[in-house]
Amino acid sequence: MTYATAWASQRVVAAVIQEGAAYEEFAAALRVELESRWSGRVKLLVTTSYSAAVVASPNLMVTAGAAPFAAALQQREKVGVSDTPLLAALIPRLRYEQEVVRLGPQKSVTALFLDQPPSRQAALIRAALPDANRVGLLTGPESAKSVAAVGAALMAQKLVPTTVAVAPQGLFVALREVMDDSDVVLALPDRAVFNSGSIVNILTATYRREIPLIGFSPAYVKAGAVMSLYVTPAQVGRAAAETVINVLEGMALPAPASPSEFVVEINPAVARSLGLNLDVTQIRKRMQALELRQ
Amino acid sequence: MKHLDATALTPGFVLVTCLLSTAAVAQQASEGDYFDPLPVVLSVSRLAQSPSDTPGAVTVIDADMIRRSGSRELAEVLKLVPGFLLYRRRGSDITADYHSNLDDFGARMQVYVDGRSVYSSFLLGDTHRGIAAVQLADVERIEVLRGSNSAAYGSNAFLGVINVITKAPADSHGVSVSLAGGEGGISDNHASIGWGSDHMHWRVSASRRSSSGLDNIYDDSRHSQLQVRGSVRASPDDEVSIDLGVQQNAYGDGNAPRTCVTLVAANGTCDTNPERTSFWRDTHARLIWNRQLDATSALRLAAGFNQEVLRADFIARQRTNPPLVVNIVAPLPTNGRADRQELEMQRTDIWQDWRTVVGVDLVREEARSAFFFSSTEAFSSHQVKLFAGAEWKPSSYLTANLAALWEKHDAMGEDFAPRLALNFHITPQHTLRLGGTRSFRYPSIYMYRAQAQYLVTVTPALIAPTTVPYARTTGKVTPETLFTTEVGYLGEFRDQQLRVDVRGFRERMQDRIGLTANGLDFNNGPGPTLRGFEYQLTWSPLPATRVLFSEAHIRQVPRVIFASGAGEAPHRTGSLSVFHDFDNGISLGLSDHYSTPSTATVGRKARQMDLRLAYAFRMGTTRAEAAVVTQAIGGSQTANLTANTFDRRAFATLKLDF
Repeated sequence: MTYATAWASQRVVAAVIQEGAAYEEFAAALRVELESRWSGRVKLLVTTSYSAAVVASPNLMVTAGAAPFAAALQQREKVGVSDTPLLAALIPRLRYEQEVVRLGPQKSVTALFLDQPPSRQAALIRAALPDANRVGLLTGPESAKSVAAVGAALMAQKLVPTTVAVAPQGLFVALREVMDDSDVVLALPDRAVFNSGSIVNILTATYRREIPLIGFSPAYVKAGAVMSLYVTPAQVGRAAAETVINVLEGMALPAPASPSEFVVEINPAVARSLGLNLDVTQIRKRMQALELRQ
Repeated sequence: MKHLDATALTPGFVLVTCLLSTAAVAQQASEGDYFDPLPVVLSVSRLAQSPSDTPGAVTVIDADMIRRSGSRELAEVLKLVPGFLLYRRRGSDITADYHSNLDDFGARMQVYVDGRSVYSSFLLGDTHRGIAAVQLADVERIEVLRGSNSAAYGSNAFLGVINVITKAPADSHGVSVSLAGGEGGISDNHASIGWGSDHMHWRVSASRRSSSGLDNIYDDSRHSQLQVRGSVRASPDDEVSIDLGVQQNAYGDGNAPRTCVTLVAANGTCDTNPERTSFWRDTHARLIWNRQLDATSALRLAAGFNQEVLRADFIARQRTNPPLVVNIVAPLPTNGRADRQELEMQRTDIWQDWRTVVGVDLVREEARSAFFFSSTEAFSSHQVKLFAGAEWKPSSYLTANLAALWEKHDAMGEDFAPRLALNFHITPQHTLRLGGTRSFRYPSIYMYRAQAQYLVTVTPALIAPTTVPYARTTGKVTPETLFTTEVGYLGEFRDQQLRVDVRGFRERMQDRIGLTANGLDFNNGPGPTLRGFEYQLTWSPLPATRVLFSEAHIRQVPRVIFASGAGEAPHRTGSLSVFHDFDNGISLGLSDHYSTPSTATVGRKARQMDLRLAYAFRMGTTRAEAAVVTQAIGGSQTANLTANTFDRRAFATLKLDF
């Protein structure tokens, strides 16, 4: 194959990202993975501007962040690229669904969610805290929509969910109620419930009652949660690269999903203080076994 | 190592500001939740020591277990702790002692409620009143350190330390009401209301607990408590806690008159300990300031005072039968007041493998009683304590704890309590502990200052009015000491859902304080050596079932028994509890507490079985639990005196959380 034809058959992938460390980490991982698996056959353009991405006539577009995705969704019809597959990355499921619903059914759009699948959250609790039976869930307007799926996954692992909505009674009454009936609290993202202001009260209250809190980002572990289950931007980048390669090789656009890679991070000082012996390798092994059994 | 007061956690300081642009944030879900930084809340200096690193054996009983046990008061909960002996001198007057029945009032034990000592130094040293005054419905957790720890807590942490931690005001929002009523004149009620905002939280709780005690004696009792707790987060690094309260107890005392040999004639009626209602009240106020100095240091300052008032006066009478009727009367106004003021400061630092605590404690106690001291003056004592402790974790296999406390008492001189414990973590789940410590206990003000007598008048005047001495202390009594060596094991068997805690001990007491032969003074004599082992198993055979089994085996070797006769502790005491939750909100609890007969006071209760059946339900947003508790289902138990029995009694409880 001559250089010219090689160039002609090279695919173009445009990634529209927001400014910030997380998005850059995603883009870097995407680039590295694409390069290592499809060296020379794909050109990746990373930009913060949607128009710049469109101008490059990509075969596939990737967005990193909710804002770039919202902008892309809005403009793709107008600009005439609504047939170009669009992969939304670094976006929560709720926001993705909100955007898609707002604009009506879309062709060729999929996503890689930041949310952890409920089955994995339930497997983590079972694997890390075998003594726990009741799992507390504090919900707000956003997480209320996904709590049923989480509850079902917990019950499949023989865990009993205790769901308390924060809104009508306020955080402190809701916290008290949830802590009275749980052995562990699983935080579900919802900024009305879990934010930098409320986290102080939630962590001190659960620690006082010796109830472990499972967070959904590395910041939670640093703040004092016993452990967190999350996916890193680099892991999303690698998953995005996989999807990109599959689609460009002719496979159908996959349904929106969570990446298969994930991180379980422990706060050893807090774990020890609560008398918990947590070993990440052991936990992951047990999680694998539990999820296989499902 | 002084255990950090878990109700006084403070948040750390805020870190880096948000990275995200403010553009698309607004009300919609976004990835910011996953990537935004958060303030460090649980910095290392705020964390409590890990259970496998503690220098002694600790039993923790949480609110859930307290509720399931069907206990009405704290002393009853202590049945679940291995090594504790419980007995009722009178119906509602329970004393819990660790490893000894050597004293009637729990004097050789230190008890704290939210860091506030409830040890009464007024008369002979007493924690049983402080324990009885705890409102169980407010308790979050009880931590019992089984073993002495003067090295961290000073005098009186002689045989054990009980730390009662009440629910934080921030965890008590809303209204809670509970009621209990049933046989034995049981009538209890408790109400608490909590409120607050982000920076300030308050809880006010009030309760009353009454019962008519045992049959055949006047030992009715009514405990009332009012408590206010507040916590204020003055800044991200400063938290202030406020603790105010009043507790009172009106209780029946004395015995019915009986025929006897009187002072002047062979045949008569004695009413020398007449039935009466006595009264005790304690008022306290305490302020604690916790400051986070930086991520690895914390400072705590606490100041408090409390005042105890005892009104227990009576008139002892004897009367001979006709034809010669003679009345013999002796008034005994055994009233008094004790005041205590305390100031403490403590600093915690975390270094690489080290965690250190240093502090100072200043205590002033004052006792006054016209009768007990034959004076209207107040008699005071001052104590200064300096303490330091260090935890060293050079590797994941070893934790070493070293602590020491030096105390100076203005009448008793100086004393020193060191402690060393080595915890070997054979695996993360199995820890072996070796330790030794020396503890001391100061005599109370009464024991070295009391001068009391009473006047006996006889009508007609066959004998001139006579002064009879009641107390003639010489101040020669000195502190007691206790040397403890112990071996412990803590094991977690994950696959079997089993936790095991074993403690083997040798506790050698010296200079034991007791009454002199004439009963008027206090002196020191050889103390017993207690040897034995105790263990505690927590097992969850099924997810909704919990089994608690604990036993203590003790042998006591007295070298000389005092004339006033302390008996021997029972060789074996234990308790077995099984709790199970059914699917429909019903839960069942069965508890069996037993002890082998001992040479101690007559008729120690041999066995008590309690049963609790509860139903948890909701009425709208209100959570409720109704239960029926039967204590002593096996039937009547002999209590302390043969005439009195602790009969089976049943009562119903209802708890509502709004």
